[in-house]
Amino acid sequence: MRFPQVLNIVKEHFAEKKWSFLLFGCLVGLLGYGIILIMNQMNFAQLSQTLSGFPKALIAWWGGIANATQPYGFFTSEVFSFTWLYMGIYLVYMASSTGLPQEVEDQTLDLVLSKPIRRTTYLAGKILFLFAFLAGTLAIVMLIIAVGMGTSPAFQSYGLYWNRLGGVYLITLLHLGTLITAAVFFGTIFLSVKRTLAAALALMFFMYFLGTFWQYFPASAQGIKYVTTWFYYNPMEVFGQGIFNNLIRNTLVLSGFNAAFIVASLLIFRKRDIPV
Amino acid sequence: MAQSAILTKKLTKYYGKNRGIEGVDLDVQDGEVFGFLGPNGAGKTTTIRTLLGLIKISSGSASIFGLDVVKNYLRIRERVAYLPGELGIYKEKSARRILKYLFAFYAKPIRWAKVEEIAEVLKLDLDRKSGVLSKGNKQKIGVILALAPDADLLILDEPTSGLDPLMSLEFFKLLVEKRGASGCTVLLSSHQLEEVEKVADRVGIIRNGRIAEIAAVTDLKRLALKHVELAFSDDGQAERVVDLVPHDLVESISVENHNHVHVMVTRANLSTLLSHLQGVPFEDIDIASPDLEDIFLKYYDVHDEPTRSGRDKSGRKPEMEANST
Repeated sequence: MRFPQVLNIVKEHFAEKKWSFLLFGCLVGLLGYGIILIMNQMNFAQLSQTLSGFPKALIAWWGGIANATQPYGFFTSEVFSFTWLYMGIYLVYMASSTGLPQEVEDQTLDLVLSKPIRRTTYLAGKILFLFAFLAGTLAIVMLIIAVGMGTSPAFQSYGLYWNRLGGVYLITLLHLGTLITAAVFFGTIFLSVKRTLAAALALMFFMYFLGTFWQYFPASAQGIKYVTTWFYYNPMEVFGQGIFNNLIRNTLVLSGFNAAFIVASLLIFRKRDIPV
Repeated sequence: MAQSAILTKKLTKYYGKNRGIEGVDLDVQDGEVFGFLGPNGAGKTTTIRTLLGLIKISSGSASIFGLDVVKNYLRIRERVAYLPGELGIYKEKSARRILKYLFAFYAKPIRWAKVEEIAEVLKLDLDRKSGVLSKGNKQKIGVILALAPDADLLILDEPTSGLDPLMSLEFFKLLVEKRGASGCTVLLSSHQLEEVEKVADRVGIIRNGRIAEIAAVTDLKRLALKHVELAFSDDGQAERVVDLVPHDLVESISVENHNHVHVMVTRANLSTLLSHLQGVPFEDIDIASPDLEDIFLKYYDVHDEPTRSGRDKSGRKPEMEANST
C-alpha cells in the first residue's frame, strides 16, 4: 500500500467536504451547547421530584432518576445517547455518497482504478478519510461541549470531569465508525447509492432496536444483545456516571466490529468487477 | 521481430451467463497504432477493461509488455494511459483539480507544462467546474488524461466521442505528434472505420465478442464503402437506374418504394458510379458512410463466420440485390 496515494485520496475528499465538515461539527456542537444553556436554567432537585411521578419503566429506559437529575446524566440522555441519530444518518449518507457506489454511478471509478493504484489502497484511502472526517467533526463537537461545560454553573457545581468527555469521545468515535464501515461494506456489495443507504440505515435502526430493547425480550433471546454495537456503546456509564469498568472491553469490541467490516469490504472489493 | 505490446490468448469474459468476449486473440506490436474496430456492444470496451484489470478474466490470458495483466497490473498501469469510452467526471471539481488528483497516482510526476499545452490546443479552460462543461469539453479532460503522461501504451476507447470535427482533427494531430515523439503504442477503439484508418497501421475487427478479422489498414480499404441514395420524383426512374449501373461496379443496389435507389459502392468506384449517373434526372442525392454494422452485415454472414474480401464462400461477390421493397 502506497501511503502517499492514500493521503492523496484523503486530501482530495477533505478539500471537497471542508465546509460540510465545519458546518456539521459546529451544528451538532451548538446543539450540545444549547442543551447546556437550558440545563443552566434547570432545577435538578425539582426535576427529580417531577420524574418520580413518571412510569418506572420509562424512567429506567431514560437511565434512572439519579442519572437524569444530574448534569452529566441529563446531558448524556439528551445528546450522547442520540449522537447516532444526530450524526449517524448523515455519516451513513456520506459514506455512501463519497464511497464506491457514487463513483460507480458517476463512472469515475474507471478513471482512478486505471491508474497505478491497488484497489485496497484506494478503498483504504476512502475509509481513512471517513474516519478522519468523523474524528474531526466529533472533535469540534466535543470542543464546543467542553467550552459549554467549562462555563456552565451546573457542571461547575457538580465538578468538571474531563476524562468522562475523553472516554465518551472514544466510544462515540468507534460506535459511529461502525455505522460508516457498515455503509462502506454494503457499498462494496451493492455498488449503488440507494441500496447501500437503505441497507446501512436498516441495519442501523435494527441494531438500535436490539441494543435498546433487548431487556424486554424473553430471557432465552436476550443473548442477542452481544451482536449489536449499541450494547457496547454506553455513554451513560462513561459520561453520565463516570464508570470506566467496561470502557476497554467496549473499545476492543467496537474496534473489532470496525476491523471486521473494513477487512470484509477490502476482500470483496478486490474481487469485484467494476461495472461500466 | 518486434515485441508484443499487447498479447491476448483466448481471452474470454462472461458476465454471468451473458457473453462479453469469447476467445479473443490479439497481438499488438510495440510501437504500432492498432485500430480496434467494432459496432457498439461488440466487446471492444470489455476487452480493454479486462486488459486494465477493471473486470476479471473468465478464461484465457492477457499480457502487456510481457507482463501478465492480473499479476502485474500495477507495473502495467505505470506505463499505460487510458481514456475510457464512458468518461465519468467529478462534477464538483475543476479540470485542473481532477487532473492533479488523478496524475498524483503515478509514481513518475506528470509535466504540468504538457497539460497546459494540450489544454491550450484543445481550448479547454482548466479552471471551470467540470459539471458545467459540455460533453465535448468533458471529453477534452479525458484526452489530456490520455495524452499528458509519458506512457508507453495509450488505450483510447472512442476518444473523439463528443468532440466536434475540428477538435477531432486536433486530437488526431496531437496523437500523431505524441507517437512521433515517444514511439508509444496505441490501441484505438472505435466504431468508425474512417476514424481508425487515419492513424492505424493495422486494424482488428470485433463482432459479437469475437475477433472477425485482423488486417493491415490498406487491406481494409475494401470495407470503406459509401452509401449513395438517389431520390426520384417519378416512379419508374429508380428501376431504370438499376439497369443503367453496371452490376460489377457496385457492391449492392436496391430500390425502395419505386422512387429511391440505395447503392453500396467502394470508395474507389464512387467516381465511376457518379459518371454513370450523369444525366440521370434524380431529385436528390445523398452520399454517406454506412454504419460499421451495415458493412459487417454486408461482408460477414449472420452466423459470425467471416467470409473474406466481400466474397461468399464460393469466392464470388455477393449477389446483387435489386429487390423492389
